[in-house]
Amino acid sequence: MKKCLIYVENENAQDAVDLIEAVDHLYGRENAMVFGFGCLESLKNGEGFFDVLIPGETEKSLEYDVKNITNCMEALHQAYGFDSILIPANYVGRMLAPRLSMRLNTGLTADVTAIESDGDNIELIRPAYSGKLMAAIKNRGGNPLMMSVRQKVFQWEKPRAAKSEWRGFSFDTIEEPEIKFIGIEKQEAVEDIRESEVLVAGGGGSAGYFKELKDLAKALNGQVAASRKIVDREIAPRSIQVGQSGKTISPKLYIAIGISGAIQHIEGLKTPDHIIAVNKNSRAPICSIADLVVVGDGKEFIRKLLQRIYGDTEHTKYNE
Amino acid sequence: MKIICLVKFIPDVENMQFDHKKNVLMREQAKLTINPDDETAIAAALKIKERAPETLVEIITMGPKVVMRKFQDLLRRDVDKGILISDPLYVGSDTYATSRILGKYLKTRKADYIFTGTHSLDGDTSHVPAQIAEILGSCHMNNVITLDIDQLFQGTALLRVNNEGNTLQFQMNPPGIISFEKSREYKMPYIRYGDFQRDVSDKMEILTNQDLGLKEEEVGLAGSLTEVSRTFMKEIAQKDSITVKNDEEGIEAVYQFLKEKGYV
Repeated sequence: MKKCLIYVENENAQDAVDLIEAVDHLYGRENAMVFGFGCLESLKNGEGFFDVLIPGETEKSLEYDVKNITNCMEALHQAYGFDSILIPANYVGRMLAPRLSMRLNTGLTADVTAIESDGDNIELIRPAYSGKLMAAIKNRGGNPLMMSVRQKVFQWEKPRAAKSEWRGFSFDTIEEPEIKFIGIEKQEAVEDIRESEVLVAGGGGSAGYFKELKDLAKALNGQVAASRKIVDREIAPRSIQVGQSGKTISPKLYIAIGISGAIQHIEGLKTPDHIIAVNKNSRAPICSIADLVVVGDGKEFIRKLLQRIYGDTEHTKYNE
Repeated sequence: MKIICLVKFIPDVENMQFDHKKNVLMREQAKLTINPDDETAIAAALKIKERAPETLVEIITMGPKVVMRKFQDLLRRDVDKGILISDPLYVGSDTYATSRILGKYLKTRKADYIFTGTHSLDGDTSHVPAQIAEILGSCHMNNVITLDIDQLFQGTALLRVNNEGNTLQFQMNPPGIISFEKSREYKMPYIRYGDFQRDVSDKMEILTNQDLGLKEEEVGLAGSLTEVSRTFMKEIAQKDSITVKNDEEGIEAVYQFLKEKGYV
């Protein structure tokens, strides 16, 4: 029986549960004993998914304190000797995973998107060189095998199984924190593009009219997303970026306007049901994965489609 | 106050070459540019130095010697010292081995803070700053957008951090590693006219493995704990697309498609 540890970040417990699918790819779910570690409150969401749940000392004392989370997970590894440790690549996870791998002197593969495994021989797949290629990574260090995984790359969809076993653990390596969380200065009600069923996304070709994507998104009850080119040019925030260096999304409908579809972008599309690509170049890679390709200018497309959706008389804004 | 900035020169991501046989990036041929987040880190350090000129700013980079010209341009700003760590033995190092190399040097240096970028555009693992923090036993924070300079001279770093559009505040005690993300707050100062060709060799030092004294099996591919076993182009499941023009007929086809699937 393989032993796997998954870090459960505060407020993002579902991302940790989803990593059980990664465990399933590694060894088969039935061959693994899956441990969850995190704060008590957030571990409750893992009830029935994990085999064993081990809460950190107190509820929120470890929040953002990566050094002490590392101390705790090191202690757990010493006690249990895990075969693998999986960490969601969220804000804390991105700092925690490299720190813990250095502490445990083991290799770490970041942002794994697929796993090829026969149980012993394991290759972790991730996009490399800005997504131009996929690379299969092997761990040359000993146990544990470590990886970080972005949100929604894996999704565990099985229902809650038997009850989890709650275990206490006395962590005696917690130090005085060197970082103090003062508070949240600004909490924008940022819409999460991962939650939207319809996304209207703009790429480099839409730079001149990116704002207008919002009108179409509104008409379709969806949200606006962007490719890296648009984010790099500071036309849109990174929080709405789709792709390897942005977010992985699985909407029902994805309308890609002026997006060529580099691998690093496609990597962020997790099986949308329908893709409509609007591009001046019908040979752009995105067109070969689209259901419907519209060859032409994106700005004109938005205007014409809005006219059709709203009807000619009701919304004069689009008839000027 | 002493600030060390860790900087990475990255290949121009749009036009880079890859050696498929050796599974390494052909950095020697690639056009190099400074990683944007790292540039923000230097700009922040120089802003602090502008306020308090006695602040010492040292920049460290690791890479092939071709980075020299770009590196010297950085030193033509108000930077006190530049260290280029370069050795053919280091080629092929993964993030673990890279952090070991940088950590070995940094252990010999005393600094109040180490500034880095959060993401690099090429590898985008964000491993190295956190791994160095572990080697040095210091604390570390990612995605920093601003720090309070007055507070810094009071003895602690007050950091504003971007977490998915939310701004969080943290207080960090030195020594610590502060990883910036690209922000409008800190802009790299221009090189003064007249300094464009300035000889900066007196500020610069090149260190090789002879200076750092790591064992051959600790660096490069040999010292790496991960290895690229193969690379491949991803096969994308293609669809039988219907192609239409951006005319009345085409828009009607899109509209009917949306209607049929229940989106309008």
